[in-house]
Parts: sequence; structure tokens; C-alpha cells
Amino acid sequence: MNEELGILELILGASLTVQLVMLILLLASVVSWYMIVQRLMLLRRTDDELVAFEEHFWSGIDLADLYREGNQAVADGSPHTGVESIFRAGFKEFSRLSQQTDIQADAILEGARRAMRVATLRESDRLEANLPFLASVGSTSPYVGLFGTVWGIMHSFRGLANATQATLATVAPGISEALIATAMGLFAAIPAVLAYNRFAARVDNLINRYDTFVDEFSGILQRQTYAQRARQQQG
Amino acid sequence: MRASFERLAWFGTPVVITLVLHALLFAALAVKFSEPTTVVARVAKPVAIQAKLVSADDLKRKKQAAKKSAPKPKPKPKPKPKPKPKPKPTPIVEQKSPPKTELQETPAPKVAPKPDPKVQEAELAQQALKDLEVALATDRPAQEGVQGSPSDTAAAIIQRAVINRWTRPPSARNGMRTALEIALVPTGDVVGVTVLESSGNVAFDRSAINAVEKAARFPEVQQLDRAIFERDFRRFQLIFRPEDLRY
Repeated sequence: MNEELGILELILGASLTVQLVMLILLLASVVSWYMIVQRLMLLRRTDDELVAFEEHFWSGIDLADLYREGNQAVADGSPHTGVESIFRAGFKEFSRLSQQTDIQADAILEGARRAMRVATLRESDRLEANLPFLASVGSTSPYVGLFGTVWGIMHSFRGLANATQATLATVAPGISEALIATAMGLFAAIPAVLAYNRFAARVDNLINRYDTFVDEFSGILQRQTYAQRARQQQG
Repeated sequence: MRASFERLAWFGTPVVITLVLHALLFAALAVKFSEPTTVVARVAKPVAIQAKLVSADDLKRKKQAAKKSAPKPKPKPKPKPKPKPKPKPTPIVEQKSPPKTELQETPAPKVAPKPDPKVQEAELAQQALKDLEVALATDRPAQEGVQGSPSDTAAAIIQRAVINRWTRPPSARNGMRTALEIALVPTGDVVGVTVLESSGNVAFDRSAINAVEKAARFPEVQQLDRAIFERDFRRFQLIFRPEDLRY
């Protein structure tokens, strides 16, 4: 009677189903936290990269030089990510198409835009990876925890039916251990939901900025293309 | 080299942060769960109730004495043992802890001044009384008739209730000592009795446990403040020590 009900004894004393539920929730919590931290690092890095690249881009540097700078990194074996990959995709397509003199200026622009759109989509896929997992942890783990609790309480009351003397002390440990499952479910769900909402908003924001960059870059390319074509027609 | 390090950081950092977070949470939970016990164990000791054996008629006499000396509730228990120092069956005051020895000293001058009021002795008694009051204020929870804190009053009531139900086995001897740990719930129900310190005599231990189990309920603690209950009565010690036996 005097033995202390430590949380560890409660968990170890729970029935198999409840323990299984707790294990699942613990795994969900661990994995979702792993993803939260990783997404946080990724988004922060992407953000920094975007700011740094835009600064570099608008510093008046020649676009061909900017492209060539990036080649070095590719040769080192680290492919570009973020806004730089969009820039490189667009510029590559643009220079490849503009070398062919029989192509219309509009077609060149269209090609470059398409290449950049594809790169943007790929980027958004990369940024949004794992977010669905966070969403499902956030929405289902309270239910899983609740299931564990209901199951535990069911058992605890069934035990009460067999006992001759029904005291609070006979059911209290069972209910307490069952409630741990709900607590774990909520513990897994709350950060996951918060992180999902936050990350989804940040990814949206990043994609918007990418789109803006694509439009601005297209403007520059358009100017260059028409200037080039005008020179060709004169010459 | 640098790339592999970056890769390690990329996957390692979230793993480390995740594991540390979960470990911290679990540690916090575990500590929080076990906290009430440690706290109670720490404070429970000073509140040990000295249940010395007083036979039933002695108790009655005590109550009468209490009625007589109604104006002075505090000194009352002391004069009691004084008149009958050793041969009599009630040397309740014979105790080991320091505040009690002080107590034993006091009755001598206390009672003496009444028959022949010498100035010196009266002074002595006055001094002793002050000392006693200090001692009482610090830690004398279960002295009968003491109007101390609510906690002391409840302790005294519990002590009386248990003593009234205590029947010693024939094998009980002076100097035996059994310490029980008693767990109460806020309704006053006894939910646990364990022997902390055995007297070495099973029958004697048993009689002490029986006394508590017969009492079964101390409704007085319901009136206590919740914090006081948690501190003093959630878990407390009761020490049984017969000192009125002839052998």
C-alpha cells in the first residue's frame, strides 16, 4: 500500500495493448520531433540562402559570371538547392536556346520560364517533404492515445467487477496508467500541429518569394533577349 | 571531409535534440512523480508522535487533572509525572530526546513552589516554564493538553485515540520501542501501516499495529489545512514505548 506509484512502474504495469499504444506514440513523438528540428534547420538555411543570393544577384554582377561561380560548387559534388537552382535552371535553358538563332525571342523566354517553374516545383517538393507526416501525427495521435486510455479504463473497471470490495485504490492505478496514454498522445500531437502550421506558412512564403524572383529574372532575360534579337536583325 | 561532417551534422543534430528533449521530459516527469514522497519523508521525522503507554486509569486521572488546572493548559502534563517519580507506573516524562529532558527538569521546580513558595524556586520555575514554552513551540507536537498549532492538536488527538485502543501483550517490557509509519488520506482514513523500526518482539509490534488499525480513522485531520495535512499527516511516524510497566 505504501509503495510509490512512479511513472515508470505505471507504464511497466500497464496492459499489453496500452503499452503498445504508448510505444507507438513515443515513436511518433520522436520521429515528429526529428522532422521538426530538421525542417527548422532546412527552412532557416533556405531562407538565409535566398537572402544572400538575392543580394548577390542584385549587386550588378554579370549573370554569366554568377552562373560560372556556381559551376565550381557543382564540380565539388554539392548540387545547388533553393533559389540558386532555380536561377541555374532558368539561365541554362536561356543560354542554350539563345544560341540557336532561328528561335523566336518569345520561345526563348517561354522555355526559360518553364525550366524555372519546374525547378520551383522541385524546390517546393523538397521543402514540403515530411510535412504530411507531421500533419497525420498531429491529427491522429490524440485518438490513438484516447484509444489506449479507453482500453486501460475498460480493463480497470472489469477488474473492479471481480473484486469483492470496490475501493478507489483498486481502480486508481489502472486509470492513472491509462491516462498516461492520452497525455503522450497530446504530447506528440501539439508540437506536430504547431510545427505543421508554422512550416506550411513558411514554405508558402518561400515559394512566393521564389515566384517573385522568377518573374524578376524573366524580366531581365526578356530585356536581354529582345536586345540580342534587335542586334541580330540589325547585323 | 567537410561534406561528410556537414552530412553528420544535418542528420545528427535533430537526433540529438530529439533524444535530449524526450529524456528531459521523462526525467522531469519521473522527478515530479516521486517528489511528494521525498518531501513527506523529509518532514515526517520531526513530527513523530511519541505514543507512550499510559494505562486507562492514568488517562482518566490525567483528564481530571486537566479539568482542575484548566487555566494553565501547558504546564499541566508536567506536574503529573513529578509526584510519582519512579516506582509509580506513569513515568511518561522519561524520554530520550533533548526537549524532553528539559521537560523532565521543569516539573521539579514547578510542583515544588506550590506547597512552599520559596522565591528562588519560583524563579527557577519561571525560567523553566519559559524554556519549556520554547521547547514546546519548536517541537513538541504530541504533548497532551498542549494548545499548539492545529497540527499539534491533531497529533495529540491521534495519540490519545491510538493509546486508548492499545492493549499490550504480556511479553511487553519497559524500554521496548516500535516505530510505525502511518499513511492517511485527507478523510482521515488510515490507508497504510508499516513497521519502520521493530521492537524485536513480534507480539508487541503486532499490538501496536492493531491499535492503529482499530482506530482506523482520525476524522480530526479533515479540519486541518490541506498543506498542513500533506506536510505532517500524509505520512507520519508513531512511536510506541511502554514505560509504565513494573518490569
